[in-house]
Amino acid sequence: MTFARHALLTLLLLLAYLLVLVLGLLGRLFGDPLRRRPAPASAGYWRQSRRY
Amino acid sequence: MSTTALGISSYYHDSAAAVVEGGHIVAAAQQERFSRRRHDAGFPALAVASCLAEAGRKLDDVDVIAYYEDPRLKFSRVLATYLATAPRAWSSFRRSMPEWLGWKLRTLGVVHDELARLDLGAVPPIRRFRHHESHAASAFLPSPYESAAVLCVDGVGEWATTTLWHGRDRRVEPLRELRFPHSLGLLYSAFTYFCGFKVDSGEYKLMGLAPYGRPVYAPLIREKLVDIRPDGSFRLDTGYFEFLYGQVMTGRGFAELFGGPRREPEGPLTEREFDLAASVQLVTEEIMLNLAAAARELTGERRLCLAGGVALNCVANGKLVESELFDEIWVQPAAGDAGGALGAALLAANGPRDHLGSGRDGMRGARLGPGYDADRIQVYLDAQGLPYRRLATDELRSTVAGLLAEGKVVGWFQGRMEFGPRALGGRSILGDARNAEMQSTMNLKIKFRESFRPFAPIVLAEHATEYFDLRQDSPYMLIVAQVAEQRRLQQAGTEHLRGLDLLRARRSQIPAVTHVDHSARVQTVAQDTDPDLHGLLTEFHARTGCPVLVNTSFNVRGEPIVATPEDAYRCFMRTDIDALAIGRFLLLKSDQPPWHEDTDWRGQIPLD
Ligand SMILES: [Fe+2]
Repeated sequence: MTFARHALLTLLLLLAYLLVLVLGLLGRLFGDPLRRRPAPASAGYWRQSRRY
Repeated sequence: MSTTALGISSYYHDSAAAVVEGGHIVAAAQQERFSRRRHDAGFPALAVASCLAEAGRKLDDVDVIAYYEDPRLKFSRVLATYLATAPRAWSSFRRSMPEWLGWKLRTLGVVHDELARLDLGAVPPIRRFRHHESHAASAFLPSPYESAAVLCVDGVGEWATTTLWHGRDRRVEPLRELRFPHSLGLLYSAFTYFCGFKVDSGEYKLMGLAPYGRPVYAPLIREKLVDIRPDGSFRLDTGYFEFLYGQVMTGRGFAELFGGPRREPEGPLTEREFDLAASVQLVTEEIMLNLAAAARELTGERRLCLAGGVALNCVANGKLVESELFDEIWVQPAAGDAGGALGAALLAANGPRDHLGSGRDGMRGARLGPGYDADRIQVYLDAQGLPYRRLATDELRSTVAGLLAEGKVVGWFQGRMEFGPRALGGRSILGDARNAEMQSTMNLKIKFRESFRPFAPIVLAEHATEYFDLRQDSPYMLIVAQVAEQRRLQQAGTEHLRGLDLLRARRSQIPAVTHVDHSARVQTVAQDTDPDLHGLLTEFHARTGCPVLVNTSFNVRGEPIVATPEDAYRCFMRTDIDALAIGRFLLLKSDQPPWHEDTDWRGQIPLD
């Protein structure tokens, strides 16, 4: 890969990551997409499986 | 008309292929055995070609290609992780995104193109299944049960990390799941990494290390790392892990919790690693028992089927058997992702489970890889001008049994190759389990691996309970049992031994296969699944009164198990193996011409 192509690719990736950052920060206002917080003591962590 | 399906798993870890016709498994093999690269994750071209050849099929005869996971769903998990962790995961993002956007998102198209390139005919349509659906199918459909509870536990596939299913007839019905990042496989891998072993392959070593330690860190793990609920579910506190952000598993928080940085790979093992291994093993067993209890409750079944990488934790499986939560358990021998190829193919073919009538499972001893007939072996031996003796079956058994009884180590290459990580008597190295020196001889002079690692016994199924406290058959070496009380020895003056010094005590009448806590990873050998190995054990039993032998995989450390006669001869000559029984041909080391290689082969095999 030439230097110019490498630089362009890195720039594009940086821009994409910036977008991920903005969307991620906005999204996190509404909750964690990975559901990492502990559940109340009475609950468990199972989820109903969907049929495939 | 029955459907012929070709299953494929690839591009993560341990690529594999499988051919299923109707409900009948015809062939299955891992790419690493052919490419000679351990855990090869590339497209399994050689495995596909081998499976089709074993089945006597071309791609034209295949009705459907079954891919073992859903790449787009997996991508949604990767993306959600970046959204949740930005800006901390930039370096991982920069590395993985070009791959995802470049080709991984269109994995099914890439699989199509790779298959077309094989020149084996037109490529049939490709169906994809869910990662855990493939695991669940591989656990239940070949099992010997009409119906059963099914539990799949691994690192992660798409989103699911732990799933419960109800297997009935030809179907596996999904019930409950836990999702990334809450994963028992990743918890175990984090400790594997922290103890200086390789993730996705060093987990066995951690399990083998556990009996040398005490589970002093288990309360800390339960308090800080994993929140276990009474309903069997659990959650990881990801603040202590690094796997969300990049390529390493643990960081500073984890190190602070466990008194300092991780052990350097190949560095000295200390009491801390022994205790960490014992602790995470204990917590893993607790979680597995909880999950099994949940599966029991949800399904009401009395039998359990297991798959997913964590199902290879045979110590935990042994605890499950001991718990009597279920009457019996059955573990898919290729429980890791290689088995996904088989599960997907079984789902796509969706044939009748004809093996149910036989009382056996549908895996045929996991001997699903390529086999070599006498002509093929002889052509090779003659072409190389190698000295051998061709023996009748009985003669071979009695000669090999005699060699083993003298303390010799024998390479045993018979019939079809095993599918899954264990050698089960097709590509094995055998030795006398009564010999106190055998464990260190095999570790240091044959396998070139760490001295702490235990070896597994094979035992005649009909004599298993005389030597082991085992409630059920263990045909795939996936259940650990205690050596029976009457076979154990208490050696005076060894009570104070700790850590690796424990190895110095003679622990039983079969010391080579008795771990320091008197456990053993048993394989029971039945006459109908492996007449060759059963015959050899019977002969050895008749000679010595002992129905047990050491069985370890035919390879050296870091190398895939041998596949071909060529591989077997090379491994035989590179190591201190005394004799090689390959089909009906017996080769003695003392008769062989001197072996030399121009390059340093040890330097070319990466450490595992
Ligand atoms: Fe998996």
